Amino acid sequence: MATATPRQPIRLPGHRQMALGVARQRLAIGILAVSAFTLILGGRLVELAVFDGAPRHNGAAVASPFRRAELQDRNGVTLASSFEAYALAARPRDIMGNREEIVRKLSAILPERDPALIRQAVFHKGRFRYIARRILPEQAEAIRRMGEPGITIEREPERLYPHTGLGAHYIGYTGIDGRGEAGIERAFEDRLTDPAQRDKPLVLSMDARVQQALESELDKRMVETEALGAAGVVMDVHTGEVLALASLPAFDPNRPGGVVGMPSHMNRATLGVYELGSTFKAFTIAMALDTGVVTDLGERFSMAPIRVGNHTIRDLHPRASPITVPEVLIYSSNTGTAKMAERLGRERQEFFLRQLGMMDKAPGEILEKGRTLTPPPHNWGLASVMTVGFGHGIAVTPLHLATAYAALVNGGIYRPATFLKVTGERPGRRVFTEKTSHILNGMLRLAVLDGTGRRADAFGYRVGGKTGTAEKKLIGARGYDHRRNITTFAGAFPMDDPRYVIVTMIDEPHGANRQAGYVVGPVTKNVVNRIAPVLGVAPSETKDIDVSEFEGLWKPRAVRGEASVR
Amino acid sequence: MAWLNIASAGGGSWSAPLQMATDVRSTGRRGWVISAWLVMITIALAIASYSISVRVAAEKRQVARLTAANHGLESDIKALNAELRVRMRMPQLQRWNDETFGLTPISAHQYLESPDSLGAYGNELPAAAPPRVTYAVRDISPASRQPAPRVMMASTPPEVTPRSGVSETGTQARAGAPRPALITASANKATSPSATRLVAVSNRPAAEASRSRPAAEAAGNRPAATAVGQPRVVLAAATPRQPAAAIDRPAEAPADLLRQVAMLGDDAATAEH
Repeated sequence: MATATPRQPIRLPGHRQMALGVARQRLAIGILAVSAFTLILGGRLVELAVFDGAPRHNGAAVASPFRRAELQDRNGVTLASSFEAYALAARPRDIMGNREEIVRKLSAILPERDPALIRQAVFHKGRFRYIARRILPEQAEAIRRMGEPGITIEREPERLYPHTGLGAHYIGYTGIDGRGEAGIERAFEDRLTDPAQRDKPLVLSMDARVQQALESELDKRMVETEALGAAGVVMDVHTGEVLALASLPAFDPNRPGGVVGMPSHMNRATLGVYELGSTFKAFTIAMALDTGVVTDLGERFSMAPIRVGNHTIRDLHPRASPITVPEVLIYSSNTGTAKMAERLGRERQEFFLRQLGMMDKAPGEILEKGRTLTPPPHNWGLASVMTVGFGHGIAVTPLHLATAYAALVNGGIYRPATFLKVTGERPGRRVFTEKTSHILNGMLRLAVLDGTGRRADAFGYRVGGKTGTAEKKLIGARGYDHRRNITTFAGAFPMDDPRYVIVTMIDEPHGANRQAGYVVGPVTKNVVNRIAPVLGVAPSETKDIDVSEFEGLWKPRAVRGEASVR
Repeated sequence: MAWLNIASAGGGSWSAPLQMATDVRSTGRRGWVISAWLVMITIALAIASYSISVRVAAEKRQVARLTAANHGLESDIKALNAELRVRMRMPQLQRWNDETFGLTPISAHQYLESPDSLGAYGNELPAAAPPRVTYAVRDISPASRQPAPRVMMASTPPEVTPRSGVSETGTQARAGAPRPALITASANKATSPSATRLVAVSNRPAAEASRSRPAAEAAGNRPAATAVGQPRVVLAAATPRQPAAAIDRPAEAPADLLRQVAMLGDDAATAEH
C-alpha cells in the first residue's frame, strides 16, 4: 500500500449511508445524554421547589431538647409535667446603658429580689451571671421591653409538680440540670427522656386521692403524737400495684432544696428499715399452719415466760393462760409465736422469709430501696428464730411488710410491688396455701374486732389486721429503748374478699399511750373510711367474713368494738 | 438545536456543494425560527416555574406560621392547664375541706345494700321516740357541718301534740343524720303566754336569716302579741341532711350562714333558760 500511487478513494454506493448512520447514531446518543442530564437537573429543581427536600421537624420536641415525659396517676391526673421557664441573666460586657439605671429598673420589675444581688450581677467582671433563675412571663416581657442587650432572658426547662408535696418520695424530683434525683423521676430517667417515648405520659399505679388521704391522716396523727416521722403504703393485693406510698415529713419537689440525706428526703417507706414487731406474728402463724407444725387451731400455748440463752421472752398482757392459736394473734402473744417459730426451725423460717421477699431489697422500681436486716447466717440460732417469730431481730421496710401481707391475704400468692399501672394479670409465686390464707384472714379480722386493733375498725369496711409496737434500738449502746417506739398497723380490707392492703407506721410517738393500737389504729380507720368509697369498696352493715370456725376458740369481750378500748 | 440541524444537513453535502449552500440558508432561517420558539418556551416555562415556586413558598410560609401559632396555643393551653392543676391540687382541696366545707366520708349507714333494704327503709317511722321535753340541740361540729343548712318554719295549732309535730324530724334522726337543730316548745307550756319562745325561721339566705333574727327576739320578748289570742307553737328545725348532697354540693356561703345559725341557736338556748 505504501508504494501505491495516491488515487481517489473508491466510493462504494453504501458508504455514504453507513457514514450517515454512524453520525446519526452518535448524535442520538449525545442528545440523549444531554437531555437526561437536563431532566435530572430539572427534576431536582422541581423537587427542591415543590417538596422542599426532606421534611423538617419543627415540633415542640425539637424546640426543647430537655423535655421529659409527663407523669400521670392511674386515673390520668397529672403528677409532673415539663414546660419552659424563663431565667434572667446578665452579660456585663454587652451592657450598653447606664448600669445604675438598669439595676433600678430591674429592682422595680423584680421586687422579691434583693437589689444588692442584682447590682452584684450587673456590675461583676465576668461574661455571664444569672440574676434570677426563675421569673414570671410578665416579668420576662417587661425586661425584654427594656431593650438592654446585656440583660438576657434564657429559656430553661422546668419541671412542675402541681400537687406540691403530694407523694414527694414516690414521684421524686428533678435537679437544677433537669435530671431525675429521686423516686420515679430517677428510676425512669431513660424512659422519661427517650425522644421516642417522651410524648407519651408514664402512667403510675398511684391514685392521687388515696395518696392524699393517706398522707393527710398520717400527718395529722404525726402532729398529734409529736412523732418523728410516719410512713404508709396502700397496695392492691391482687396486682401488687402501690396505690399510695407516703413518707413524712415530706418536701416540696418543686423546691426540693437541701441535700439528699436530710430527714425529709429519706424515704421511710422503701429505704428505712424498722423492726416492725408484732405484725410478723401473722406470718409465723401462717408458716406454722402451712407446714403443719400446728394442725389444731384449738391447741393451747402457755403464756409463761420462756428463757432462751440470755433472753427471756415474756408477754406484756398475760391473760388466762394457756391460749388457743387465734388468741395468740388476737392478744398478740410473744411466747405463743415464739413456740411456733421454735417448732418451725430456722430452715423453714428462712425459706418462708425469702419467699416473702424479706431477705432481699425492697420490691418495686424505685431505686431508693433499703436492704433488710436479718440475723446473720452464722448466728441464726434458736433465740433468733424465736425473736424473728414475733418480729424482733429482723428489720424490713413498710413496703416489704405491705407486699408480704398482700401475699398473706390474697390467697397466698406473692407478687412484688410495682409502681407502674398494671393491666391484666401479673404472674406470682405461691407462698401459702389458700386454706392458710383464708384462716389467717379470719384471725386478722378477729384481731381488729376484738383484739389489739379495735381502733382500726372502720365500720362497715371489714378491716382486718395486726398491730405492732416495737422498741427502737438504743443509740450507741446495746439493747432497746423503752421510751422510743415504732408503731405499725398492717392489715387489709374488706376481709371477706381482701382487695387492698394498708400499712401505717408512726415513728417515735410521744404521749402517755404509745401502743400501736392507740397511735396508728385511728389513722388506719380514717384512711379506710376515706379511701374505700373512692376505690369502689362498698360498706356493709350486714356482710362480714365468716369467723364461726373460730367459735369457742376465743372469748369475746363483753363490749365489742372501739368502745372497749381502754 | 439549530447547529444540530446544520451539522446533519452538512453531512449530506458530499456531491452537491451548490445545492448545499441554498440548503444551508433555508435551514438557517428555519433554525432561527426554532430557536426563537425554544427561547420563548424556555422563558415561559421559567416564568411559570418561578411563579409556582413563589406560590409554593408562600403556602409554606403560611403553614409555618400556622404551625408556630399552634405551638403557641399549645404552650398556652399547657400553661393554663398547669395553672388549673396547681390551683386544684390535692393538698389545697384538703385545706379547703378542713377549714370551710367540713365534708366527711360517707358512713356505712348511708348505704343501702339491696332493693329490699330500700323497700324496708321507711317502715321504721313509728319507732322514732318523740321528744317529751323541750330541748335545743346545736350540731355544728366541724365533722358534721352541713354545706348549706336551711331552717324551716312549721307552725302548728296548740291542740296538735308535739308528737305529731316532731315525727318528721324523727324520721330524719333515724335516717342516720345527726340530730337536727330543733327548738320546740311543748303545747301545754305554749298556752301560757310567757312560756312561748322562739321561733325562728327561715328558708332564706343568710341576709334574710339575720334580718329575721330581731323579729324572733321580739317575739321572744313580747310573746303576748302572738300568744294571747291564739297560742302557737313555732318550731324551728333544720332540714334533713341528704347524704348525696352533703358530698357533692359545695357550700354556698357556709361560714357566714353557719355563724348565723349558731347565733340563732344561742338565742334560742338562752331564751329557754
